[in-house]
Amino acid sequence: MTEARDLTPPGTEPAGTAPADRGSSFARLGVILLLGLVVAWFTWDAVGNLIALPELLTGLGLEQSIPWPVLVLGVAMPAVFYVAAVAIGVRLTLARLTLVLIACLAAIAATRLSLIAVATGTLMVLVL
Amino acid sequence: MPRTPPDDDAALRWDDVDDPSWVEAQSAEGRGEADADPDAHTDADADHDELHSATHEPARASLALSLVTAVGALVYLVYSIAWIVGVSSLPLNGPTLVLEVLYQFAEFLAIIASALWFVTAVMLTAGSLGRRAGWLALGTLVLLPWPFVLGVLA
Repeated sequence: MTEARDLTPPGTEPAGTAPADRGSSFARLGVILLLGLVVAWFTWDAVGNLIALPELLTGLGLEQSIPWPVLVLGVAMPAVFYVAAVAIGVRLTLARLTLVLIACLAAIAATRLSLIAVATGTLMVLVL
Repeated sequence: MPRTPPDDDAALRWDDVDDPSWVEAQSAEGRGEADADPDAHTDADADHDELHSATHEPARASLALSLVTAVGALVYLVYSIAWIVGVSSLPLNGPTLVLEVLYQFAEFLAIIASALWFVTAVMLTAGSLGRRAGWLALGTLVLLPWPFVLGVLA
């Protein structure tokens, strides 16, 4: 993060004269925040599952089969992945940063479906 | 004494090997290649002594890089197909239209995740065999298509 700020020092020159391939730190922050909204939705969805699924299973009398590890992992995973991607991509050019972040979003979506598959798979095994 | 007529097309040809600029261009190209993959050399430092034949080493390193990339491409292609099959087997429906759209978008992201990871890893590790192999290997663990795997096992 500091390295990116050093390369495009704010206030020394107008934003329009910043090197085109690196982009301004404002643009970087914008991309990180914009794509972060998707991460926020993934986290929100996982929190919803963490709250709703135990209620549903408790109502059905299946308290023992609540997949707690998967539910908790689902909440933590998007933020962990995204922070790692930002740490990797922040030193790169704006285009590459965007590519890394979009790839990270896709990896989050894939891992989310994997967690859902594992949770429903174990539930099916336990129920049947 | 008759003067030789000036060769009007001389500047348009690249075939004068004796021209000093030809030699310079060649050596500059060689330097460029050496500069392009400093990481490959540092990664290969461990077995540098065994592979000390100076002329074959860059060719061997680039062959290994191509091989890793090709194997990675094959694995990630299989992963993409497995994700397409796996996602279609997951009965996920959003309760509202907005959620349904978001769920569909997330499924689309999951399907393209393997291709995106591969492209990103190859782009960001140009010339570095160790780092490329490492990132591609990490991707095969992170993106393991569990919906497909569990569907096959069930």
